[in-house]
Amino acid sequence: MTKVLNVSGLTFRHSSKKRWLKKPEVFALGPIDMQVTKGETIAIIGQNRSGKSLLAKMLAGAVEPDEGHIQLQEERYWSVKHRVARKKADITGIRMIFQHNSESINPGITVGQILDEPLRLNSSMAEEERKALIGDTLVKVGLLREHIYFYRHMLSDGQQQRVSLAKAILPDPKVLIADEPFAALDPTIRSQTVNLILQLQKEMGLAFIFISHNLGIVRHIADRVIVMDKGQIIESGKTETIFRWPQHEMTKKLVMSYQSLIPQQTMREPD
Amino acid sequence: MPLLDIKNLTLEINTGTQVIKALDKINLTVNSGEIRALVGESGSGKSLIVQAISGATPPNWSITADRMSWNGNNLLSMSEQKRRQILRKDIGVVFQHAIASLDPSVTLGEQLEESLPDQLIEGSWFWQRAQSRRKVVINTVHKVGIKDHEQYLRAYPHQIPTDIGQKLMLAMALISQPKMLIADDPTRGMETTTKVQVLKLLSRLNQTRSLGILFVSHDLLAIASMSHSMTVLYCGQTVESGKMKHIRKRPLHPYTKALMDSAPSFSKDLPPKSQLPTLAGTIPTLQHLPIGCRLGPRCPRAQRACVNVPAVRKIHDHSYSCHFPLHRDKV
Repeated sequence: MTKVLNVSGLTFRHSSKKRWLKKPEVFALGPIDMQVTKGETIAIIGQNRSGKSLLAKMLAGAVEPDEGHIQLQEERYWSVKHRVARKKADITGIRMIFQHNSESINPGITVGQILDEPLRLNSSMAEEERKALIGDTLVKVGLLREHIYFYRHMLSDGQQQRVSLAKAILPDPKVLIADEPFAALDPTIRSQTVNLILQLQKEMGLAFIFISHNLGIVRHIADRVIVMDKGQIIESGKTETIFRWPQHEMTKKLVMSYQSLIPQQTMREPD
Repeated sequence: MPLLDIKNLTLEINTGTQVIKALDKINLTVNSGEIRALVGESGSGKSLIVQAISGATPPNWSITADRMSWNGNNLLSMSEQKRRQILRKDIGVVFQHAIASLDPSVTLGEQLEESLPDQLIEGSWFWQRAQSRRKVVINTVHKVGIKDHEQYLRAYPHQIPTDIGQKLMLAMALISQPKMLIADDPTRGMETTTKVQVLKLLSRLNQTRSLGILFVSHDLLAIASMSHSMTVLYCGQTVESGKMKHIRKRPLHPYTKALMDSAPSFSKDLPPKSQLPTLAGTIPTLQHLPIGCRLGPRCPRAQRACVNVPAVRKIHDHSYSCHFPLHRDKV
């Protein structure tokens, strides 16, 4: 088991100053420590406004943390004390899929151009190499090489999801982060995406960190679950352990409400 | 006696160049005191049905139906005014995009007070009536699970989070004490605890007030936990309909089976991290609908006969439309 990602003491503080009659608003996230091993799937669950999305964005580098550091395979990926420019190779180590995949695809340019951009900016590949890689990646996510000529509006929901997935795995990252990747998808398309991610993980040894409200899918694909509340990790552990023996009040509440939804015969499990 | 009874509803959209049959002979009944789930993926026409019932249709849509009646009154032939009265008094509608369907220029409290009908307000003097109105609004808001009413009733739609918006939309539909509630994806994107809260509220209202509910969604877990019967749609065709427990025990249509399989919580013996069974391909768009059974190109059991639209067949009150249903072996 090789460690891919090591996060320690990651903290984010948001506070708006007190003004006339306005109460100061304080939101603090962390300090957060977590380790991710190769090929592992981690689910982050929790109620709204518990800081899940913020954590994901901080891991991906979209939001700057106030303290702490992120270490990606021995190399320091992000640290507050050493504000060294990240090496170009590092930027491609952690990639993120955003929540609204159709809105995160530029409608004005073709899929080929969208996929070319991260490669052109972050690698020294020649144009032919990039083109070949894009074609291969499209095939890998279950699209055709011809899809590079397509615009966003010509693709269905499932295909758009595949494009954003292709965009994320293009530079061969070590860690993939997704914010609610399954929420907006229809049931059959959702199953296709889940299958695709499982398969890609097997092939590429990706570590996959995702946020989801759908505890059925969390239970199916996650190795470990992190439960967050009010900016803190309140519980974390193996998926089965969390679902069977939740310790914290909030986790109990989440698991209980999930159990109350699933049909009776699945609830009576022999322990 | 069914509250809402729809037979062979066909909805055609005229795009100028061609006429698209968006809904093809849909049958749907909601009895009083029944929770009927309407299941389908996006583009299956769930929301079109809701719009057709509520009468909010653009001029280039034409709706034809053999029967579309509310409590025995024909909805299609009645006057606009009468129809609006029924919608105001007896049917509550929760639209899909909660925050987008609220008035952005008025506070939520005012909007709720506005949708409260006069006969539910007590008192004869204006200050008494204002007080009573306020009281009813606060009660309803508490009922749907918003605790901090002071803050949210004073807010405008853009200031509130989505789940609060959804709850407020529900409050707005329930405040006039309707006989039937049409809820179009009321739990979309909610996290589990909030979702369970809303579902519990709906089933409680169904039991205590015998409120008929048409629950439109594609969240099978939520549907299975509360609804009595279910209608499955695919691309504007009714695929299967019947009692929830029958369908869950033995789905007859391949599409229903695929939907059930897509929720890993239903199949207990599925090993973790295994591939989920699913249908290949994507949902066709309205402009490129396949002929015959619209599931045809994606269906694992499709054969030549599937280019014709299958007739509706019935086993007791479980109806399905498929040439090669799952209880029969492949020919």
